[in-house]
Amino acid sequence: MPPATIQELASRGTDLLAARDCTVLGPPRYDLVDPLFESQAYFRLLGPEPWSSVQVQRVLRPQLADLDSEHFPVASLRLSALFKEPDEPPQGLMLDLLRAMGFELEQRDVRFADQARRNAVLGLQGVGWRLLIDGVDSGWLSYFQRAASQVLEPVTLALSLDLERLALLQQRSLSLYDVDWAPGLSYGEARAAEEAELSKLFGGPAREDAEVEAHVDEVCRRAMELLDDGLILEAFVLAHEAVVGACRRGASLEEAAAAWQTRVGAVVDFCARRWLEERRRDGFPLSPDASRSGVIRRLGV
Amino acid sequence: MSELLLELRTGGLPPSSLAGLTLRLKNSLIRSLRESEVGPRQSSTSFTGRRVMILLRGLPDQERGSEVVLGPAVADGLDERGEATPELQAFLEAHGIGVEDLQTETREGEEFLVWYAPTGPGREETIAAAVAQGIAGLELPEPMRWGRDRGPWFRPIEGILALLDGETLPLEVLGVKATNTTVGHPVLSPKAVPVRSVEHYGQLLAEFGIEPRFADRRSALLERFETLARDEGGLPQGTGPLLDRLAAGCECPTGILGRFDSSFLTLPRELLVTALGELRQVIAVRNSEGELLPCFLAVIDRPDDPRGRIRFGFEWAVGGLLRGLRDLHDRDRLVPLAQRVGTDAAEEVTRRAARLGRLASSLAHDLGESSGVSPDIVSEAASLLDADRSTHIVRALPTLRGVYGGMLARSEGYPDSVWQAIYECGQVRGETLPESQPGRLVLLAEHLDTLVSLAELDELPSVPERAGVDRYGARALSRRVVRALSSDSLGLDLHRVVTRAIAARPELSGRAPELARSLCQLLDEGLLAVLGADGYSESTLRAILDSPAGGRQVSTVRHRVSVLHSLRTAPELEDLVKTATRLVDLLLESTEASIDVRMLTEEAEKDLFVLLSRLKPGLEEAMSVDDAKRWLGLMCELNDGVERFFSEVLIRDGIDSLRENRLALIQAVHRAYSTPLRLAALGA
Repeated sequence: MPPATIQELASRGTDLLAARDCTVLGPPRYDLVDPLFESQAYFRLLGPEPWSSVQVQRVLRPQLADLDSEHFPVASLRLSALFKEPDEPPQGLMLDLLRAMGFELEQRDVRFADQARRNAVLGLQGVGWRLLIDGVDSGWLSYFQRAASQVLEPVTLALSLDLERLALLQQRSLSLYDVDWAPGLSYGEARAAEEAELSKLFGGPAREDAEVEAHVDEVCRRAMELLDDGLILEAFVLAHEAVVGACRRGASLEEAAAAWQTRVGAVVDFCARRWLEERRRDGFPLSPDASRSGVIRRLGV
Repeated sequence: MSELLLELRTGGLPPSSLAGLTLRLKNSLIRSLRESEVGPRQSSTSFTGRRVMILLRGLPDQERGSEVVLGPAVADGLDERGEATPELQAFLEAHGIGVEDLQTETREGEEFLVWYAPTGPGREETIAAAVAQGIAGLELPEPMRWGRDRGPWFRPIEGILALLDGETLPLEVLGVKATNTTVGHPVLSPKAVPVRSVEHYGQLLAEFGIEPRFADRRSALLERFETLARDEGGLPQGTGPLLDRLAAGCECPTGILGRFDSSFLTLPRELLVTALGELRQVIAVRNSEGELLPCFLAVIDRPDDPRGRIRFGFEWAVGGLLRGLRDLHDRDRLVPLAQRVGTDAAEEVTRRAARLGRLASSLAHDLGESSGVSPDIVSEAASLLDADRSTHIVRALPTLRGVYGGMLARSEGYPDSVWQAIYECGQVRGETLPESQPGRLVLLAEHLDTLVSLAELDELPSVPERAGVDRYGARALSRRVVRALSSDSLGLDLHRVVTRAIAARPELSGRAPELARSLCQLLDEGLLAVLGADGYSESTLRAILDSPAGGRQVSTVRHRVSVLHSLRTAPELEDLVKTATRLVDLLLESTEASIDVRMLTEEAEKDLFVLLSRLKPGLEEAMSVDDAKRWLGLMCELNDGVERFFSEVLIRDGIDSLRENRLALIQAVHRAYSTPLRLAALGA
């Protein structure tokens, strides 16, 4: 099989996951700072409804803005999926996915390195693994145990694959910019100009703390107003904007999370609880009949 | 006797916890089996990054108890065709069994059908239940759940092989059912294969290329790395803990060699080696002169790299890392260290830098000029100690804290003693200390300042509210402070440095006595721990530390402890301790008083006063020049006088003034028994 382009990897991975009962979600409304900071994905973690999903996302990594973009682009194209109550071993699923994407695994060194995944703003706690293909960090999979202040019932398996790196490994290209995005179109041709802007946007000297703080305060205030109006998903989008805005003002994602996790995290927590309340009120309509009563009893509804 | 082979397969275990997890699991299994009276006599364990293997031998092979239930006679139970008669049918139905469960027994010449009804669970069921309890009952940090109602356990269990004497054990634990199969490499030999016996299991692992023993994996990897490095004219650089991690986390490993652009060798050596190890888990290669070569060694978890793809991936990942590091290093060098703790820093960073500088300077002043430590030098080094925290490199590689700051200070042209002090503080791990005096003093200032901050937040384990809970490692810091002050050349008093550290924080002056009390108590505990680790008993240490002459100059305390320790076997010491204890008891409720010589009426008390006055200078001198034998001789002479006093003088008799004068004499004698060592403590 010839090496896959980035778009082939995206479509092959999506096809396989769709065949394993994942709903193919529409694209996110915005570039994400975390594959799970996306309203279609995040709220599916919560509650018992067994929806599994797959989505091609663009994830921002503002902390890489000043590094060489041939290795560390700010925006990374990811294939991300969620599984409620997955029955098969998750690493087997990942291997199937890689095979479907065209990897001849018999010639590769595929490793799963233990990794805890935490995101203080989203209140996520997960245990899982980093995926290393031939020593290259290419994605991760994690069983999330908590989200916001909720213990997840059931736990959810999430996975995310770095499509650019997977393409680079298949195509044996030294520069990410030379990787084929589509036949006849390189990653550099498709994305270099945009990447340069993102580097400029997120790079450069740090701004004043007070300015960042004012931004976060203002966005969080607006988010709470939306929540009061019952617009849960919109409030969540604003919480994401608060973090992106903080990053744009010179703080890295980790710093932004550390400095404002309490305030933005509180908004996310409110959103999660409100969402769960509404689904409870509706009786978790997507739960299978056979398990709904048990699930509802366990959750104390 | 029976043997049980157990293999727990998981997706990938953290290498650092594998050995501990395996041991704890084995102990938990053995405990659980013993509680069920089916404990093994021998056990052995091994692990890879994907499985934990436990072999238990010497389990009981007898079925547990049964009782005989007598059925009908054979003649009544079976017809001519050998089929069950209605009578036997009724018996079988009553007990819920089939004909195949029956045996025959001859009683008084007649053959009967009997059923051996088990009195409890069978041996297999008992072992299976105990194993399930041993696995599920293991206390684990942050256990996780997975799949559909599975867990909680350390990591998801993907499969269990449980073989009791070659047969599958009927075991189900945490939603996973045991089988008699194992699997090999997840890509190269993933198909489940039945296992017949322990020996067969070993053969299968060998066929899969899996080496179950950690030590064998490690030595094979080391040998491979040495061969690969030798071909490049070098040898592996620093294989210790990293090689341990790499060998623990795989199961069919081999080593490969990759290369990077030689232009990256201009990066500082410490940075290169640390980044390769921590961020890419690969090992640097150096030549015989110690210079790094543009190549690295990596572990792959498979036997080969058939088309060089794996090497390409590693080289790309390492190349990207080094380019990134070079960018970050170049950017870090644009901002001077002084600016990082000055104009560019947050207020708290600036305040701490100034505080550390002041404290280090005052400690250097206390040492005096003869120490050769310049207050200005240590002040400058201490104030720059935290400067590298804001660098990109230290954010990416926190273990380089201090070391990187020292390197930047060197490149900025700071004096050798300044950059070296910062660098050495960064190298401190566990029991080690900076080699240079300025380095130790800077470390001392930093640790003391941190301890004061913890005391301010009531986070010291010595504070009653904390009840010994040490959330921030204050005890380890206190022990390092003690060790730093152990050298003769850094002979500062422990309690004195506490005073200095608190004085460097004028805003805490209102709480100074309270903070000093808890800090001194913590450092005393640290002193006890450090000296206790040298083999001295707590009573010996207390005898010195509780003496009113006290003092907390570590080298002096250590010396006194060693002197007393050398006397511990002297038979005379026992009498001295008894007397000391009696003196303490007598003085329990007395108040401090002075002796009126004119009121000494009895001969024995007059003689004791004279004896004490005569011996006192000799006792002090003997101890100050380490003449333990002389001190002991003089104390024995004094002890004779004290015993005569006790036998001839009735202390509590007579008028109040005489009694008080005698207690004052006893107080003076007691001081000799308490200084420089508190003999009564030896009786505890």
